[in-house]
Amino acid sequence: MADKLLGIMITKYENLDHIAGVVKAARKAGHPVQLFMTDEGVKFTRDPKFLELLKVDGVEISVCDHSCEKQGVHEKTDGISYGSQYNNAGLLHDSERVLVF
Amino acid sequence: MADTKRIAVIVRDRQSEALRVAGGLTLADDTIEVFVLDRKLDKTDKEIAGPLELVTDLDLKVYSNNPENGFTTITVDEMAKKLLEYDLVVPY
Amino acid sequence: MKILNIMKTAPDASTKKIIEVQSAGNQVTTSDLTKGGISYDKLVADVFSHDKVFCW
Repeated sequence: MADKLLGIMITKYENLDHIAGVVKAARKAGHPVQLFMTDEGVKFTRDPKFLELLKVDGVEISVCDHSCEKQGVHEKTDGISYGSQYNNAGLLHDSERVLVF
Repeated sequence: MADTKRIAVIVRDRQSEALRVAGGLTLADDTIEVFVLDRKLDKTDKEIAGPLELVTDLDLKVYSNNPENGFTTITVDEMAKKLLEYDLVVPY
Repeated sequence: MKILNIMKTAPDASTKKIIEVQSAGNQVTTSDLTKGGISYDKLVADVFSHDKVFCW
């Protein structure tokens, strides 16, 4: 059970405390975690508090590049994979459970 | 996970993005179905017409409790029960 | 069937109706994120111990 993947899809630029809380608790329980940000959620790619999650082992973060352009988020952040909705499709396909924030 | 999943996308307030995401989710060869909840889709809005065309071209099944949307009409009660048939539900 | 509803915002009428209908004959748990004192350890355990998870 502990190795079951938790997917987190982030569509809004809010709920950071909940996202971080869930990510850390999932890792503590042994679950790998993947996050995908789209729509307004891509603003987290420039949020220092959110980027603390990049330091958490076992966490992968990807983002919709198209949404970044649309939201005016042009600077890239190391450690985040800039992709497309294909990443989201893979995340939902592979995850045992998915949370949407 | 190699099996095909059944995923429902609920289109609520951000209709354009929800439809775009629904179309994108087909890229992992899962079965995607769409539920437009309450609001009428403004099909004249280019931001909505584009992703809606994608959803239509992909032949995704679309349900709505709003008959004005012109999709398969179901009640909210029916929607509630049907949503339990999916592996994952993405309320957008 | 065990259903977990995670409430990010107060539910509107349709969301309330969906939850109400799904509650019949199923075991429903609600985790209200709009209130303080969330145990994320418990939330994660609930996410994996329930059959269906809805984030409203």
